[in-house]
Amino acid sequence: MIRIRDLINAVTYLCACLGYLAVARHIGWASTAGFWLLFGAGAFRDFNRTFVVPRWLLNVISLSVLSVAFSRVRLDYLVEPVLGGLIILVGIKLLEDKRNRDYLQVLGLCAFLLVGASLLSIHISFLVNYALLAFLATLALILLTIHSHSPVLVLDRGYALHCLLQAVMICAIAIPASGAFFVILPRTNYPLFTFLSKASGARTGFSDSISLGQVAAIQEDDSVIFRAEMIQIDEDQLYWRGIVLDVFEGRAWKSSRPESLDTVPAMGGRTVEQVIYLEPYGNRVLFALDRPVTIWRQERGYEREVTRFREPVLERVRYKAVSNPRAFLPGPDKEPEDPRYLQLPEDFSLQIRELVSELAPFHGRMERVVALFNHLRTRDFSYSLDELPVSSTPLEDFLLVHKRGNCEYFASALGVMLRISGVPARLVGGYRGGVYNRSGRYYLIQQKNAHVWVEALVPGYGWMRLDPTPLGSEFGPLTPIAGVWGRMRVLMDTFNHYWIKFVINYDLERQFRIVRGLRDQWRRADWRLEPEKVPFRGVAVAAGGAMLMAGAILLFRRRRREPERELVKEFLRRMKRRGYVKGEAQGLEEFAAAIGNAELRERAHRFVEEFQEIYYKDQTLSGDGRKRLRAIIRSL
Amino acid sequence: MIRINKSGYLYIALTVIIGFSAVNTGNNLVYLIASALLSFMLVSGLFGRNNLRNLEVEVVFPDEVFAGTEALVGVRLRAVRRWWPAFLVTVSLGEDELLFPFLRARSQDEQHLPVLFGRRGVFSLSAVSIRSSFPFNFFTRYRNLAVRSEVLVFPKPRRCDSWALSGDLQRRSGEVAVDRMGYDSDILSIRDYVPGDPMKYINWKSTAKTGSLKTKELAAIEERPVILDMDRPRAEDLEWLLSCATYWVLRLTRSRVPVGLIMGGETIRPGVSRAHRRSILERLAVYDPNPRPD
Repeated sequence: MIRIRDLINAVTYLCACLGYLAVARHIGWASTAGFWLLFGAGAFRDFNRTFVVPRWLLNVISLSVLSVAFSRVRLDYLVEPVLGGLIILVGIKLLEDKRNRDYLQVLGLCAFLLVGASLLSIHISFLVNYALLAFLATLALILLTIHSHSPVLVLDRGYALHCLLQAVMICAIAIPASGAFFVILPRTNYPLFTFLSKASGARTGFSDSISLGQVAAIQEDDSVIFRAEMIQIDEDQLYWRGIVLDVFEGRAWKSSRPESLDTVPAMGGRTVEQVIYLEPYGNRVLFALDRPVTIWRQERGYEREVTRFREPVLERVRYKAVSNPRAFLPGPDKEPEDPRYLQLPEDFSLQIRELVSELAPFHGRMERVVALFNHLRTRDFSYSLDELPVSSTPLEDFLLVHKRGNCEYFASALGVMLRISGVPARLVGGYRGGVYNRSGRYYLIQQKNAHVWVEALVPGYGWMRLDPTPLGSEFGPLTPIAGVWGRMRVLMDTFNHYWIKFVINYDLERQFRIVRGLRDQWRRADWRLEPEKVPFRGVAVAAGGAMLMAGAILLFRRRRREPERELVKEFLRRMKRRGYVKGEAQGLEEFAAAIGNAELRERAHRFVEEFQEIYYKDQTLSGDGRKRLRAIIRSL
Repeated sequence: MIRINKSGYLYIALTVIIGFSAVNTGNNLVYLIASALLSFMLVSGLFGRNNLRNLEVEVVFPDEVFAGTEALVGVRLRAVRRWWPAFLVTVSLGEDELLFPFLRARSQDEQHLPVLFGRRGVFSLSAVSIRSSFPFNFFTRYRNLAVRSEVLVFPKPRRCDSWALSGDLQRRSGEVAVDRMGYDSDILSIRDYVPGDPMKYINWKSTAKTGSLKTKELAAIEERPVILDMDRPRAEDLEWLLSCATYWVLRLTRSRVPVGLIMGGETIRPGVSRAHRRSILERLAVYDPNPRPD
């Protein structure tokens, strides 16, 4: 036996916990501490019934909390203080001597907390919180409804279980149904309060310039930068082009045409289409498989070709790209070579110049390229993310002393050496590798895949991709993620991908596309019946299925109808076959008595007696009773 | 029919606010919450509707109901369904209401309600209203259920002097010995003692005279029948007279005095049985001095 109030309290406290979990990451320690303090006090009060805090006092505290929260609000820091205030309000409500409406207010506040959390984070964990909160709130609402009708009710196990079952059923229908509402709810291209959504704070990782010699170690970042839906291709072709760095300033590489992804005309050969879901990362650079041919993006309902974003990417972006995955691409063979690809700072390191003339004294451009490239691929050089040379001459330190570094050092060194030897060269920043998710058919590219490689202009070949960084060293993902944990991560990422693809990125344009698709299908559908086009087997299977279904429904419905009435009907049918028809005004007993055949009469009497014993004494027809009655009917 | 409760208005307001925020932040997760609020509203409606379906109400009246006297009316709610129980069903009978908090599938529950009928006559109930706020207290759903229940309300028994009904009621009423064996009145005969005869009926005088035990045989006493003549013109109000007659029917039959009735030119012969009493009361209940022509 459970007191309904205790049950409501338990469910409400759980809801409050979920509300807290939704916003825990975004509120300050003071709000957290305040909430748990009030939560503990409220729970102690509710389950021990020890004290009552006057309502006026709590109201005063609530007002003060709200004023403090609103006083902290700034235009760029709007949601967090409000959430901090709201969570304290939940705590205060828990401490109150609660009436039904107070419980409802706690649930409402939890809904607002969830809304607030969704403005700050778009992680898939939201879905878990949302489903749990929906279930608990449903249960709480059912219990509150019962409580409002009979406040002192004590629930027995059966009643409580039935309430639980109702909550489960309601959620099982309502949560999927909310998917339908999600699709059809009106959307606009011009929301008014976009400033509230900060779900996607900028993230560091990719940068549009390279500075050497400033940090001694680089942290690996596991966060996702983008996902590319595409077919699986060879690993050595997985270079995701981002930005071309052509200006060398002694210690840093920069781009003369920042934020623009240079595309090339299609050159025949295989092309690979990609749909890229780029995470918010605070920059304007687009990424696509090297070498990109075209990139389109939906903007305000139109699909247009782009090479860069107008604004830094602060929310998830989806675009399409077509690429020619190849290491060579035709360069400006006949055009005069662009001097900027040979540019070096004046009086640039003499030591490196000496090294280059020593390594590549050849006349042929290709030979020089190969020699310089091979120099960096010798055993002397190793890949490292720590103990990087911190100095004012990082490249010299790297090439002549330490010989350890990350891709930035390898690529910069090769680029500089090529330029010194008179080969036009440039650096390309982007990503290398990625994990292919077979179930989701996409590559997952993480920040730690960030990479820089070199392109050298070789006559007859064009721009040739050179990656001097020792392969496999920095790209954990190039080796497939192994183990149960790894598979779990891939699975979770699949969910996350679909979450982003279907939920987070759903917009007006997709809504239109669904409507257009449905309309087109309707229009295209051919309603005329042409015998040769009718798939007879399919129709037969469908008809058979429908008939089976209809039969099952009929059977089920028949059983659902009063079983007593069915039994009597069956009894009368049998008797009719034996030649005895019951008159309309005749009672069952009377009918049985009028049967001529003594044996049959005796059996009919047995049926009638047993039936009446059940029916007229308001007993429910048990399985046994039904079996007995059926046995008698069969014996007639 | 559906009525929106106070918390229902609040829920709708919450949905509108969150829906508005969804459209204006363009945030799909807020859309998701707004969708959930809408779909929970819809599904709660479906469950509420289902909760009131496949229910049968039966109203059971007591055998004898008198106007102006509270009668306990039984209300039986039956869930004619296979799986789902019914929650929080309130059955309304006029002003009165009965709450059935929980009713399992394929079961029934009965509750009683004191009901006061103001006047005599036939009261038929063709429908009762049931309602429920289940599953959430946002909306209250109403449904009318057909019931076939009829009750005949007898006139209110009103104590009155006997002359009001019949001048000879007092004169004629009383005990009379009848020519039948009994244990009450005069000696009819004396016979030989049979073992088992009560001692008090032994006639000692005859026993002494004859030397063998003798037993008295006594005549039975019977009440003199009373006929209530309603057709006799009187100054009193008809309802008052019917109430008075009811009182006397009850009182006389209780003391086993045969009662008959003359009303509307029809005569019911005196009798004391329960069925007889009922038939007189029924006539008093439905008596209409000026019947409308059919």
